[in-house]
Amino acid sequence: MAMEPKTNPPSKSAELLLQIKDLHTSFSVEGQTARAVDGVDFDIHAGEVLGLVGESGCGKSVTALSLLKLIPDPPGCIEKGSAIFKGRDLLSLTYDEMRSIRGREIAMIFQEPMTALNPVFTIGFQMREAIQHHTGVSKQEAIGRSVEMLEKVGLSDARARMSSYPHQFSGGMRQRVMIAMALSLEPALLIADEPTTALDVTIQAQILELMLEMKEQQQGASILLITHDLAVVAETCDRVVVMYGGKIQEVASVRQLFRQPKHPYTQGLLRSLPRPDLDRKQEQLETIPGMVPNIFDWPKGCRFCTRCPLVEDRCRTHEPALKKVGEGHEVRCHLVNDEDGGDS
Amino acid sequence: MSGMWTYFTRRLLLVPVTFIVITFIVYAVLRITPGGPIQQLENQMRAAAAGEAGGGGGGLGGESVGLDEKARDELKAYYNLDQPIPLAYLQWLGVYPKKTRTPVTLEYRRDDADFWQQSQQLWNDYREAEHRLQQSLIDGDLLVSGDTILIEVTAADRSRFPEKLNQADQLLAGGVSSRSQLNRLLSGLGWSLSGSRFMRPITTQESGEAGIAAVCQRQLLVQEDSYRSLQQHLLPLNIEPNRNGSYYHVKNALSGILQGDFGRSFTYNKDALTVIISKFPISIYFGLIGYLATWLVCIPLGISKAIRHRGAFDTATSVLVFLGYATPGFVACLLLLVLFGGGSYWNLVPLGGFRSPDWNQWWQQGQYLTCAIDQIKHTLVPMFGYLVGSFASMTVLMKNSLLDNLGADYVRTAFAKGLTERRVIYVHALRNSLIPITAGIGHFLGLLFAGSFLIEKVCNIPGMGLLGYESIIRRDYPIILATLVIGVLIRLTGNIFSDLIWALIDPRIRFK
Repeated sequence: MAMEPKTNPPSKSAELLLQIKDLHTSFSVEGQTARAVDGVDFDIHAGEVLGLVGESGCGKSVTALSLLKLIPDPPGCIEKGSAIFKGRDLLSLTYDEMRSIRGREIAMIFQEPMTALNPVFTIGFQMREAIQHHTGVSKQEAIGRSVEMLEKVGLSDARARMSSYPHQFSGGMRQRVMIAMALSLEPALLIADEPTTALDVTIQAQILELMLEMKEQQQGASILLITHDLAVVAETCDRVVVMYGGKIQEVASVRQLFRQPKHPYTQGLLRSLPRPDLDRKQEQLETIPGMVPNIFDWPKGCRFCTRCPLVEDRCRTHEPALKKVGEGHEVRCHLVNDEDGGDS
Repeated sequence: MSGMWTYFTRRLLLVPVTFIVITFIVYAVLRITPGGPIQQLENQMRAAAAGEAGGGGGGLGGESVGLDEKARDELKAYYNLDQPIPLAYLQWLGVYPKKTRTPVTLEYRRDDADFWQQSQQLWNDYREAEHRLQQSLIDGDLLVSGDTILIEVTAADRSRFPEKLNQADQLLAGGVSSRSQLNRLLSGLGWSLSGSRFMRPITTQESGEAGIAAVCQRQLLVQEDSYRSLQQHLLPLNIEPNRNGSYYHVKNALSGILQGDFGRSFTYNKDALTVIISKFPISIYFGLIGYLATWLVCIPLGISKAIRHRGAFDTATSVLVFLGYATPGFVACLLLLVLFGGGSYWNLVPLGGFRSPDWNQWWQQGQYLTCAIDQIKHTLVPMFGYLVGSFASMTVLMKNSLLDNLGADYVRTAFAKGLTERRVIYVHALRNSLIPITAGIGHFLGLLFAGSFLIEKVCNIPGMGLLGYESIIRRDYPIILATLVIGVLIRLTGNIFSDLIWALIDPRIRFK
């Protein structure tokens, strides 16, 4: 899969599919409040693949789950914000309105294909129940559609495999089934939460390629790809949102992000990638020192100040704002000047 | 599928091994524990003597009461307690021969020549023994020595005791119903009564039902001295009279549970297995009803609690669960009986038992509604007891199981597909969370048969639990061991049955 980082960030004129504003989601655990998502704004355009990148616990999965109101409540709670999808605010929909969005307009696939399918029902049953539920077609039609989707995702002998149980499939196969299931109703947005993390490296590329292929078949469909793997981002995404500590730290096109990373955290992430293409032999892979701060007690200033190699006093006391530094490129750092190409 | 069969074959092969280990341990423990049948008998004698001594002004005071050494040895031999434990165990199991005493009722068809030929040798022995006995009787050997022998005489015995029996026949023609009448009759013949058996001529109805022309049936009640002299007559023929006067044919043979011989209950004097099987229906009835009630209450309750986890309903019912956890089933029964059993408060339910004594009569009279109401009234309290007993654990199991599954990834997938909450909970999560509960059905089988002896005791239900409890108190070894054998077999096969059910309802289970 020799896909170059995409060079054309979608123009402003591209249709806005989803606009997230000031999203706050928190969890109360034993009297303490974990502000997992703490004021997140970003847009998804029709037809683009947006990467949401960050370490475990940075709030990227919670952001995605909040969009479909899949946050377990209690302990979770979407405190404020809005997510305008096709003119409607997802976060203020009623339960039944939300259900008609889930699966039909916005579908989701998860990290663990091993456990994301119900172990006691056949693949066929799980495939067709959403189709029947949303469209009200007959069982035969739903089966036909399911078989068609399974064939599209590359399952041989799809009709026979409809009566198999999830445990009879390999991890990669299950993720293919999940993709087939998610795309069977041609949703406008597919949220993929670390879809390849639990898979073998050789399978990962196949699954990513399959996702893009399926997206191409469905004109105008967008993908929100949540991952911690920058290699995956480079190969699949158009734009990238980098999250750390419940906040967005940098938004950029893939090209900008890899060529001119502005935020010290993004730079750290890129440095910790193995680079076999560079001449110099690295004795040891670089890492970002320290640990993600306690989610119950974020640092007062910049969320990254506890680990930042360039930290200054103001970073510890004042939180930087998200600043625009170029076309479609925003960074949250005191050390970056507005509209400045300097690499701090 | 072949993997599954291998698995179950292996499991089944382990059953005998486990069975032997368990039964041997219990057998050994029983034998070591003091208070066996002989000691029980001595206790009874002592208690009786103490009672007499109290009533008679202390005439026997100070005298040691008990069995003499010889009688004790005989009893030991009778109960097979004279063998070392491992050997006795093997004999009990039926893989090593033991001295068996087959009770012989001298009952035969006189018009059936085949029967005589089929068992010619045995019958020759008996007839010779009989002949000697008759000779003794007629010659007056035993009678002269002051011993008393009571012979149950039937019409067909006429030819064998020509003169006196003719007289007896005339006298007994009207039947004998009371002890004093019997005494009168016997004294007219110059005989006297010993022991507590009644003499009984065969009735025409009886002979008709049995389809036999005539019955020769005799039982000898023998006093200690004459017992010895009888022994001398009979032992050379391998026939041993016992104290009740029955004939036993003694031989060395395999006779244990493998041959279906569970021994005779000491207290009921019946085959242990027969005694147990007679208790089965009652225990199964109450066990099944109690278990159904538990399922009907606990599964919906557990589901509601899981859905409303940490809500007001969940908290409120948790109080009930704790209460149920802290209350043993039999205590709940006691409480209900005190309140509703017609004591100081309300009289709504009977104090116990399986049915009212008149039940069968009502049934014959066609009062089916009365029968049903009576049966329900008798069922309520024990059913509640069983319900309380497993209420807490079952409810919590159901709740936690469902709660676990509600947090599972596939539930999130189902929600993300846009399914309704009802469908996600009752189709996706419930199907998974019922697996551990359904698989407990093997354990439930064991529960069905075992009964709960405390509940059975409190509610006076004559079931398996009560039988097991009482036989332990009385050291009724054959019953204890037979209960154990059945219990162990049911549990072992129940476990395998559980696995089988599990394999059927959970497609992930594969046997390798």
